Amino acid sequence: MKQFIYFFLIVQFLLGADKLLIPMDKIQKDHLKAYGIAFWTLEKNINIEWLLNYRGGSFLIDYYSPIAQECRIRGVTFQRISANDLIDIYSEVEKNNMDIVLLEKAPKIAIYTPENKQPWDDAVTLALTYAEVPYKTLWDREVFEGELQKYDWLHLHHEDFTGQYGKFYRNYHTAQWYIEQQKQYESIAKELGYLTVHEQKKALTQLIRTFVGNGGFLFAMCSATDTYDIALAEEGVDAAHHVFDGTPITPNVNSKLNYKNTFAFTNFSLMTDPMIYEFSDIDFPPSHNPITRGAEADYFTLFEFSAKYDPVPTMLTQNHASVIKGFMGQTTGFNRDKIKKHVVIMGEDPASPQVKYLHGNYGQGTYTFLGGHDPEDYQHFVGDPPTDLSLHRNSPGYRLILNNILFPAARKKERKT
Amino acid sequence: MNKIFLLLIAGTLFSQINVTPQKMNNFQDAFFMERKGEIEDAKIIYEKLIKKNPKDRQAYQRLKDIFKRTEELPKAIKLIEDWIVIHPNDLQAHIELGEILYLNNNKIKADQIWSKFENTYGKNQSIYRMLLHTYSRLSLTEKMKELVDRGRRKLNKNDLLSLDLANYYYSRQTYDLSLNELLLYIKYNPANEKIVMNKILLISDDPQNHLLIEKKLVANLNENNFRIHKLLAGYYFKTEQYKDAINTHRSIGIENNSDFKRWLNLAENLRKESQYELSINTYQELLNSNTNLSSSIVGDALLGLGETYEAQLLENNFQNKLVSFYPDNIFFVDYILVFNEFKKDSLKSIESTFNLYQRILKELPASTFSAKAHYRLGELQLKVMHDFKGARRSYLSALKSRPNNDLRNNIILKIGDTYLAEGNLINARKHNEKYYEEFLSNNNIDPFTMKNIHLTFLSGDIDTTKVLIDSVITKTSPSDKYFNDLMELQGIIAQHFSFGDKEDKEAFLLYVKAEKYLQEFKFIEVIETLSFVRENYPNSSIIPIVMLRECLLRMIIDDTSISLSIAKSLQQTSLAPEGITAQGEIYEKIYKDTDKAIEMYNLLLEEFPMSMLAEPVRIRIRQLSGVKKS
Repeated sequence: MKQFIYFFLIVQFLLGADKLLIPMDKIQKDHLKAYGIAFWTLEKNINIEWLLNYRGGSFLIDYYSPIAQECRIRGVTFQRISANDLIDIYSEVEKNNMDIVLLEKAPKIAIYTPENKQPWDDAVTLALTYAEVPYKTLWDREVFEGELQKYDWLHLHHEDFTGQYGKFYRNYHTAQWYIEQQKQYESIAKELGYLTVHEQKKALTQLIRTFVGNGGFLFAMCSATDTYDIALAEEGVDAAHHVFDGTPITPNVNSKLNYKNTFAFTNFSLMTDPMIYEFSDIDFPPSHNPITRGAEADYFTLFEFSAKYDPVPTMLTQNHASVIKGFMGQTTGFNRDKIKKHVVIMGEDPASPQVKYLHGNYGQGTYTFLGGHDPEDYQHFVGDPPTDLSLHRNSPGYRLILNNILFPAARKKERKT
Repeated sequence: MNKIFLLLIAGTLFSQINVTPQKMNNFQDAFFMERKGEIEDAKIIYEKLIKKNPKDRQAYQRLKDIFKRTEELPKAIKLIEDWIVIHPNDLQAHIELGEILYLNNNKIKADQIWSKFENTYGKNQSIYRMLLHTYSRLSLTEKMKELVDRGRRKLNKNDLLSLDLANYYYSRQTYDLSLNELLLYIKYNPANEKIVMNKILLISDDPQNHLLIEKKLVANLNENNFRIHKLLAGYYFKTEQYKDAINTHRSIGIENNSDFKRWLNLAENLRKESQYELSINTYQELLNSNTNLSSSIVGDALLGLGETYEAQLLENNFQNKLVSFYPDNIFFVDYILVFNEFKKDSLKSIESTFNLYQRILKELPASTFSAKAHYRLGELQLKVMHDFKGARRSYLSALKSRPNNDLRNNIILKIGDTYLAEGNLINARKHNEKYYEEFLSNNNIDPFTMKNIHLTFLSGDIDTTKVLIDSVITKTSPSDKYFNDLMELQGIIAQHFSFGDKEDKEAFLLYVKAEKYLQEFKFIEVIETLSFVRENYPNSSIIPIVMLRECLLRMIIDDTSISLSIAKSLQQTSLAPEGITAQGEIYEKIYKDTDKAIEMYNLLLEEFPMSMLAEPVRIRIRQLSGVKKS
């Protein structure tokens, strides 16, 4: 009897404390900064309950006035929830395709990017900066020095791990930035003990693979997705034209690719001509012949997963919209035929062979690939100005990026048996 | 027989079938099929049309485009070769043949075609341009350069296609080479300086290119081409290196009329960039440089100098105000703002400005500058010195000096303001009425109508004011610049007078009296009247507006403690967001208590998150928090 009374009192005490709900449906004024609030809260060692599929993937936090104040300053909509409302929420979560995931620890984020400014912008950097989520940058030297192990989450964006300088040769090989980039890459490769850039980049991808295998989280966008896998498959072969490294391509290079090494893609063929702005036939539509429906008619659909049984893809697809505007990039999307069977497809264009968003496991870690360069810039060209995210505070496309930074903080709530 | 004949004719006439030309119909069909995506069917029709008539240009063009798109390059090659046989002088076809051969990996034959084309037809710039653009499409940068070099030698034209090449290199972000071509272009085409300047300024948008631009321009200064100096000066100005810009302009010299105009432009631009000291020095340098300056140059320089002094005088410290009283509404302009934000050495500036305008009037008595000079003098006398009679004299002199239409209207309105400032509403209205009918327009609200409404309002005749506003608003589009001002005044009148009780009306009329005092620059009386309303009509509906007006005015004249107390009281009214924000501003700007200011701003966000002030306050909190951290 005593135990029952104590239990009752404790429950009353717990339920008596108010909560702060950050809704992530259409009433939210600034979805992107809401992720920043969540991150900021985790940094203060306050846990967050991520209510998967509840009002667009809302966040539930114990009420503290500094959190409320910070929400106000950042312009994030929030509601103060009483004990009764809380019971209703839990009850709704229990009955529907919803679940609760506990976010406990702010992940340490690293962005792989070279030291100098590149003539294009990184959507993830823009998102993190806007959401006020801290991150560090690292590049080849740091990766080879083993610094990846300090981080939980690694982002790759518009990179070329095949050592072909982004296949910009045709249009930009006389541009100052291109020449400087080539010099910089060659210098780094030499410094790290490699004769060519593509050899050094391939070694780099191996290190990243080890990082993922040991439990790291990898998020890649745009050309970092396919070039990463291509580099893994090119183990022992030279697929870079002599304009890039001074040596000829290995004869019959496509027959010598090892698809077992790759994360997500298989049976792809390379495009080694330096005058073609494309790496392989993974990319759909191909960059050198991009036939698209145009910004007004290009969309992709997110799949709905079981929150209770597939929490990971559910977390990664949390959104207030299920049909999202498409956006191009050097790698716009992935050819369905080139994706390994075990990979989880989370978003696709149902009217074409294009898969936009996928996820998989490797070792103890996971990877997520998102095609396209910038969710709010349909066709981003070299030299274009960066997107101003204050004009896209509710971007469903950018939410997909930010889902990925919170996901490493998650621990699934123990289900009562 | 005749009947049969008649029947036959009638039958022929009435049985004609409307036939459209077969060929046109087929082309259209093919075109629509192409649009629908039925490419194969379209191709068949085009091929038939060409077979029937090998000279059919439309069908040829469409078919060629299809072959290119679908990468059926051997077919495209054959098509073009056949076309060239029939049209050997179709120059574009020759070049296209080369292009398609190149795309089909037959680079040697493509080169041969292009070389032959160049040797045969390369006698003018257009041919070289055609080839250049083809090479540019194929990104054949080296070939482009070689082509241009050959063309320059052959045609003896050193700047051949320099602008085209500059644009190409610019698009490829090869700014080094782009600048080389631009400098070459301007050397031989000095009249097109603006094009080159604009391009260089675009390149300078990226700070990483600054060093490159400066090096290139400086390296070319020895060409003794003053245009390079101008480009360099423009670049320095754009990158805010104002002193370097002035020095570069100086190195070009100040000798002739075009130099003088250049200096005037420079000085004006410096003023626009709020570089007042530099602007003043520039004007003075011009005035002191040459005794043979024409009167128009002197006049422009003096006026410009006067404007710069005024701008310096009135540089606004309260620019980032959060709370304003009906901002930008012509009926509630704050002249008190103008008076009280003087800088410490402003008296000296006032004296300098006065002297300048007097100088203009003395040295250039009967010129176009007289009107402007008189007008500016009048402005200073009215707004700064409160010498209303003196201001009126200046305005009248300005009116006699044949000003342009816009200035004339402003002068007339300002004359009326001098009467208003003296408290002579009757004369102000009489003066305005003289011009009111003249400018009455059916389409837009003119400033004299607005003045008429304002004067009627200030006279306390609120009912007539309301009738005037209603009559004007119904005839005007919401996009008119005065529409909003009228709506706001109408709203105030409706809420606090028309629908008010006796007490509300009395309080309202007293408030109007305060507004009238403000136009008379009687600031103490304004505040006393507003204070009186606040204390004696505490329940009237106009109280929040009165309190806000009083609070803001007291802030400006540094009557901080009462201002703060009024702002606190405002928190209990419908203008609570303004009250809270005003408190924040007082703590921030006057008491320099950042913590307290942030506390007030946070209170606004907490209690009134949907207020119009929420967003600017949010930005202000971040700015202050940033300052605190550093």
